[in-house]
Amino acid sequence: MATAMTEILAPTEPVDLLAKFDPIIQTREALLAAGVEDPFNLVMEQVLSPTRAICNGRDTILLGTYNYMGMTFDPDVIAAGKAAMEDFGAGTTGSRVLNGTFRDHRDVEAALREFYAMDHAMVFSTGYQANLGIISTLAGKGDYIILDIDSHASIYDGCAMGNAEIVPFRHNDVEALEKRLKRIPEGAGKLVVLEGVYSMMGDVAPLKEMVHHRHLFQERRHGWGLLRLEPPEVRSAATGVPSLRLYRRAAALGDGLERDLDPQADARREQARASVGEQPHTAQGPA
Amino acid sequence: MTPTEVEARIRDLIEPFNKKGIAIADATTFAGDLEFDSLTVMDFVAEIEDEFDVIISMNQQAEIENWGQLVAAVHKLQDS
Repeated sequence: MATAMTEILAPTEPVDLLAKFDPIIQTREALLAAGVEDPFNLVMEQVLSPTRAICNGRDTILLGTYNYMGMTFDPDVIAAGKAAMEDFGAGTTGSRVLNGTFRDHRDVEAALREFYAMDHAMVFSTGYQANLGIISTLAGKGDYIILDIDSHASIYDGCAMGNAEIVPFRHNDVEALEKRLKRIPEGAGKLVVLEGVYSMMGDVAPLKEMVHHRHLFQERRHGWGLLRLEPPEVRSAATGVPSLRLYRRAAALGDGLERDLDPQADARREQARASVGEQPHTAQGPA
Repeated sequence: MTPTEVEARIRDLIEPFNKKGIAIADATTFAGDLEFDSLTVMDFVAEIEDEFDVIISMNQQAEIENWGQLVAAVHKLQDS
């Protein structure tokens, strides 16, 4: 015991908290020394259109902005954004559930609900926030999330935030998914998480085979407006099945959206920490 | 299944992933000694899960750094 105490109290070299960044700093320096243009220092001085900008002084074609529908300069979108700024100011300065819900936030949720013929819709500032908020709220400690291994980082972050058990399965492998579902302990809550279009691969999930699960969360940031609005096989298979989908990206402004058939959706609004904590921009509303 | 039997089975499974033929002992680490990247880990874990009909969640995987820990964890899982 005395020996152990002595060891604990013995002075040790202080640990540099920031030392772990040294390798990445060195990699970056070596990269730049080799004459490569700094990929992390791209600045758009002027945006000319959804597909062109002046980047670091050069007229540049934009291929990496996820601006799939090119709505950012749409006259209606710009006008609605201006009107919202005039009427409500530059931002809510508060979270949605406290003092940050404007009329237009509710209106955009109602419009999305109607558009998708769903019962509930919730808007977040970004798809990242939507995944954090919804996944971490739906699946907590003791629950199981079964997800495609190639899911977006925001999905993994949402899983970690909720403290659920995370079980990945091989990309788009229906059999691997089924096997893992069968092995989950009896009585545990289960959430299956899929994407519509996988952002890294550009392929789609075999929804028809995977859609029958009771609680399915389908992430559609990269599919909105690109995939058919609602594949008929998914709609028929999903009848009566609470399912959640997330749309965003292709809309002009970064909106995350949950929609589902579940009567408890409004309760989740108050529970989602990412929703309680975020402060939306005014212009998010009329998008 | 005894720990020895579990170890023997996992030894068969790791063979194709141990490309450099590194000698594996209890303290051999997957990330360091065997240089497993995340995709290799995923494939290897899937093989073990199918062989023993268990789930090793990512939360559990995070606690497993070396061979000895893996054998102990799988033995415990298939026993329960």
